[in-house]
Amino acid sequence: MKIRSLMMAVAVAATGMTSALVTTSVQAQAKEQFFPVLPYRTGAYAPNGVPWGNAYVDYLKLINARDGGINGVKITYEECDTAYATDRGVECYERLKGKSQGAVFQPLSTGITFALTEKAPADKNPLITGGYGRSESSDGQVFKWNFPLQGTYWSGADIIMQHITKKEGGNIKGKKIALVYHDSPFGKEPIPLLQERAKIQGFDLQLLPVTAPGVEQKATWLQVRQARPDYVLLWGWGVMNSAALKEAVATGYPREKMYGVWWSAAEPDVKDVGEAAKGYNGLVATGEGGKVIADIKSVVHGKSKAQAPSKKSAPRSTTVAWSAPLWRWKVCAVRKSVLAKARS
Amino acid sequence: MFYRENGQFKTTYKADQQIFPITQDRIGVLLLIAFAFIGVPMLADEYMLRAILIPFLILSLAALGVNILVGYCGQISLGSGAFMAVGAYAAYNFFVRIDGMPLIVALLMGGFFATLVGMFFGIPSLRVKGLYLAVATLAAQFFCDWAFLRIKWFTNDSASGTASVADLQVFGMPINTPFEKYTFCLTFLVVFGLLAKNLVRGAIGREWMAIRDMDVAAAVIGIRPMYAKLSAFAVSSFIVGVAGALWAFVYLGSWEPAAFSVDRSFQLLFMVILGGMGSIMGSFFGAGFIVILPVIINHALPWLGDLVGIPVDTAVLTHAEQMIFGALIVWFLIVEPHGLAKLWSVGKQKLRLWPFPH
Repeated sequence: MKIRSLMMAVAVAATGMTSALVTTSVQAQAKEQFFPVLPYRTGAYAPNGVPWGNAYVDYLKLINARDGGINGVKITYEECDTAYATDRGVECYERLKGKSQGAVFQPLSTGITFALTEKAPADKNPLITGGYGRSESSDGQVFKWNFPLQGTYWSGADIIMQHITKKEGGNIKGKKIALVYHDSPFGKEPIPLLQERAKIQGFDLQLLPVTAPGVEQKATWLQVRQARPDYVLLWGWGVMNSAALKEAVATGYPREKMYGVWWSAAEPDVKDVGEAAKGYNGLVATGEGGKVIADIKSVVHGKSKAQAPSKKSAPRSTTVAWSAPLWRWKVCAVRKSVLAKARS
Repeated sequence: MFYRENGQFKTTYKADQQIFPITQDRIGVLLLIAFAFIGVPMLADEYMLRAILIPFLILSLAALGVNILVGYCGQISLGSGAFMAVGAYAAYNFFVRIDGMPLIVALLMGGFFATLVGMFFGIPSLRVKGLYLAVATLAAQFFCDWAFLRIKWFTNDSASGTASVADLQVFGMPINTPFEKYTFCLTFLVVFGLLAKNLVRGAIGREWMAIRDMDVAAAVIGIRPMYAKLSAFAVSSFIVGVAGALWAFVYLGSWEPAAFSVDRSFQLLFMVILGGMGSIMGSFFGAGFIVILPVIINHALPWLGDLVGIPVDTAVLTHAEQMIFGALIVWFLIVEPHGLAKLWSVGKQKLRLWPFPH
């Protein structure tokens, strides 16, 4: 009798526990959304990839900690290092897409975006490209699974050209404009728009490719010195930006006439250039202000769940680009912020 | 006990000269191929097929090509990535520019153009050897990197410099799902593997090996060095070119020249060194090792980290991968210069005597 009741009790407890376990795991499964994180923490572009990856993860943590997930759906994530290489990115995609249906991919590389654009529709995985990726995708009918946020390189190039036109009093006919670009899908994106604008506005467009990663730019800047363009648009990433600014100093090209896309004004690249960056202009996405960043600092960093060390806060101008609305893109002189950073 | 050729008498030259003279080997390889065609697609999931097996098959094919040049003919080449790129872009141009171009013909044309480029960059091998030749083939690498990046015609004037293909099909059958892609690559690999195996054990393969072992002696006994070296470059580049076209078309789908950078050349060379120089089998071992090891590290290190309570960072994984690779390459060069294939043949030799060693 005793044994029997004991066994009954154990059995009941066991069933109760298993059923409880089962229900929670089912609920957990139903109420989770998987976000693959594809940063580049190694390779030539790691100085930019690391803060971005940290910020992305911090934001996902913030959503979980502050809001309890997206409408109650908890976010799960896993990282895979792409090293900014297309084939590694594809491998990461294949590795992580099986984790859940409809995983939202954000590769932070235009080259990887090109490769994934072919694959995403077949797997029904949305592809978010925040401030990079394929410019054609701003028309939703072209690539139905690509979701560009905050403008594309075409809008970036257009903003800079509008600004230059305004600065020149509305007419830039006959002016010489050089595009110094990272020789990759990223750097080549603005070319069609600029060529079209060159036709309409009658300026002379000079294309100066820089082989990735862009440490060696002497030949390019020799061409700049010879051609003496009125403006230089800089479409660089990573070490290419700091190298370009230093070469501009060496060539004696005024930095006031240099305009960079948002990635070319990324803090890790221009901050340490210091004096050489003085006068350089760049598009920026958003500053350190903003509610999201304040929340990340208080909720995520405050409770030390942060991916990044809280002292050197990760989410900075370009790193949280994906959370800022389009209208915040504006041409502004980075001079002040860069110099303030350089001094501090 | 089971692996023994006792009692298998060869009564004809034909029987003595077959690829696998031992019956057990023959059955084993046939079973393996049958398993690869039938068993693997049934067992492997999509991730396994797309992220591990397809790259493994294509890189095995490329390693096979490199092995013919480096392992059999002894001509060190650092231009394999370039020949892959030539194959990929030539196939792309045929595929895109000619309407109704069959996929297989396009891929083979890619191989053909890789052959031409390979032979052209193989000309220095008639004069220079060893490290100097490695540097000369490195020129092929940098030239091709430059050409495919800067000459817009090669990428069909695409604005971004990215080449991409879609809707692949062979004889009306689409090649879209991982299973179809896997079978397609496997067919290529089996056909080319058989061709390569027959080439290297024929007259031409013996010429290559004679040149590798001592080119002066080979020339003295009547082997034409030019013919032997350039034919090795041609065959090797053809296979590497087809592998490059497959890599671009089937695995990546959309690619830029960086996919065939000098890193790829090194990777292929490492496959050959680790797998075993001068061994067809070694190409497969090398490719398998280099494709699968990172995946294993990626899965094992976080698990080990959890075990001891240290969270493993993504960056640590990538760095660990490179460090382990470096260490293994040095270790292999010192301990087993003939690579994994040598270990395999030692194992087979031991198995013949097992369980009664001398």
